[in-house]
Amino acid sequence: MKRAQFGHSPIPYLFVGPQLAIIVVFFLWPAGQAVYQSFLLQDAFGLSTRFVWFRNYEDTILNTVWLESAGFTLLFSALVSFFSIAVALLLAVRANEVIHAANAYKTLLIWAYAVAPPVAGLIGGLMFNPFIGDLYHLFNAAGWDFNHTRDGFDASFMVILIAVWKQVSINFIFFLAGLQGIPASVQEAARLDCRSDERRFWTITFPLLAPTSFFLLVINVTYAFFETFGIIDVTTRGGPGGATNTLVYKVYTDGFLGADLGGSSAQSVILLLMVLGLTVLQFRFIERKVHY
Amino acid sequence: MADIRLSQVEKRYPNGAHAVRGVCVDIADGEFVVLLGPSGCGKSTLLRMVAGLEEITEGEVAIGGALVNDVSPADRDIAMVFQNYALYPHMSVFKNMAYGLINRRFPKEEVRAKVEAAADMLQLRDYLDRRPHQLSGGQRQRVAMGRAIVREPKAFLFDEPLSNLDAKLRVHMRVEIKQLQRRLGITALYVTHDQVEAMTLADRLIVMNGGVAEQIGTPLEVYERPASAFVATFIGSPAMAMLRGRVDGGALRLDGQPAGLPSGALKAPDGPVTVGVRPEDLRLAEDGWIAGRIELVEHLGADQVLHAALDGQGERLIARFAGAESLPADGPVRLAADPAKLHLFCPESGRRLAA
Ligand SMILES: Nc1ncnc2c1ncn2[C@@H]1O[C@H](COP(=O)(O)OP(=O)(O)OP(=O)(O)O)[C@@H](O)[C@H]1O
Ligand SMILES: [Mg+2]
Repeated sequence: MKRAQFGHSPIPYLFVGPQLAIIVVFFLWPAGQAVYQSFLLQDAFGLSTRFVWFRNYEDTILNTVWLESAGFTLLFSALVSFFSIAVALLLAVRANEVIHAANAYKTLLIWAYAVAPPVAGLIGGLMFNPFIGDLYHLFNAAGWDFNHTRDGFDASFMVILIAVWKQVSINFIFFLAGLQGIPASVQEAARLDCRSDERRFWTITFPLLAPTSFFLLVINVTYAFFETFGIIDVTTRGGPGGATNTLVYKVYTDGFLGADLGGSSAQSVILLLMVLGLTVLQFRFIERKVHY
Repeated sequence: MADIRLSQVEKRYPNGAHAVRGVCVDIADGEFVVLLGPSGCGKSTLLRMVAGLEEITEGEVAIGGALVNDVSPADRDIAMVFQNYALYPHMSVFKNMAYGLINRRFPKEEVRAKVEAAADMLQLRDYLDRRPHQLSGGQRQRVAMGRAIVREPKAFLFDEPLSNLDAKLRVHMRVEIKQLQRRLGITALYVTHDQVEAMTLADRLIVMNGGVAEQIGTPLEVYERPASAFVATFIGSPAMAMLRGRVDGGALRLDGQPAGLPSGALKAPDGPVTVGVRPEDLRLAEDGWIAGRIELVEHLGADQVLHAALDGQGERLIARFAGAESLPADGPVRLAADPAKLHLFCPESGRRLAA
């Protein structure tokens, strides 16, 4: 197909200029710096720097602490993404059926969206505070010897719960919009064709929500990998004993607290490649099943 | 195949809208009944109550002798065709038609046989693998029909199924729907606000107004003996002329002037009346009892349509004459009508007076 071509004018470049500048200054340049740093080794005082090729990468991947952190991150991301999406979908489907006071329910469910991850962490931290935390006391009263400051499982449970709670509301908004995009008459035609609510959900509603679900999957995996940093920083700080140390949090502690710039840069480059790989996989294998 | 019985059906929406008021009708097995009325009169609401998509506030709906008020839509064994077709966008044409059968656990071969038979009947054989968005409007409409007929339901429900098609296709599909319904002998309830569609399709018409079934009868009955002033003006195009008059000892007076009809010609009690005359029942007459001024004459080839403003009444009327006799373009005009062709209505209630 032949497209219409207009005479070139410099004005379009003027319009995209600021955006390009932002990408260069705040993404490409730091990313380039990180890649460059990841090939360097500094002594403890930052006095001498050596070019060491892939030493930092080798050290990273062969390090058991990093491997444990990577394992936790994958599990954490899978659970956070799955539960944020599943819970939001359930709530959206239910809220969409409500007729009376529907807006009140919806507003209450959406409200948590306005909470930033560190604030969510702060709220969660208070809920789980061993002295005044209601959830802490509730779990203990229910017979679960819950202590997130000592037990790695309990700590993981807590950060997953907070991360899911924070993310459910945004997923809920998207699912609700997706549900309202399904024509009422299509749902009604399905009610004449299929008696079972559950079967109708899986054969009509869910496939029609697939584009939304896929988009949310990509967004949620990225969220779980990177944005949960704030929650972990204000609750467990990766502890106890590195049980909740996600890769991003480890990049931060090694680089900024441990002053190992080379190793930390190598870790962040690996992390970037992991997320990139995951996103490519999602597009290749899941998007195919999505009918827009 | 089954009859449908509605008794004293009422619908009040949660917001208080009283959409359907006391509708009673018996639809016989295999009958084609059309619901006709202006926008917002409750046609869709009534149809949706029969389908089970809308709760019945009061009254009873029975399909095939069984009360279905509390039966879920899927268990009523009816099929519905929607105005926007409501096809499943993520399924092929084949799956769209097969979906209802698969959910009813028909064996695979039987599903295939039924869908293919329906596809043949509707000339959809070549499109079975396509998605709805790859079809034209007329083809989508046929898929919606196919989805309804494969299940061989007890009744078809149609909610303005042709209103999204262009005029030519609409006529074509109208004929097809009627033939299909005849051939399958399935009871049908059809909503439209198109008079021509209603008159041509219906075995019986239900004319609705403000949630009330104003008249139920064959198209000819409704046309020839409209039960109310509303039905009289709603059915027929151009609309029936409505004149204000009085009956005095069986004779009609317009504006206090005797209408020149033989006394005793009208069997209505004395008092004020609304007199309805169909455009085609009016004729030009030197001594005619309807006097007015010509406003416009339209030449339609076979017919001429005369618009006139009536003297003293502030009303307008439309008369239609066959043939091409030359009419003056303006000036005074006198018209007359056969007393047997007049429709008399009570000016207050709008109900037909015995005449
Ligand atoms: N879900 C609803 N909630 C409240 N009122 C409603 C609802 N649906 C319809 N109504 C009201 O009920 C009345 C009848 O509506 P209905 O859809 O049956 O009209 P209709 O005869 O099908 O009109 P149209 O020819 O425009 O489709 C209208 O006054 C409408 O405003
Ligand atoms: Mg309607």
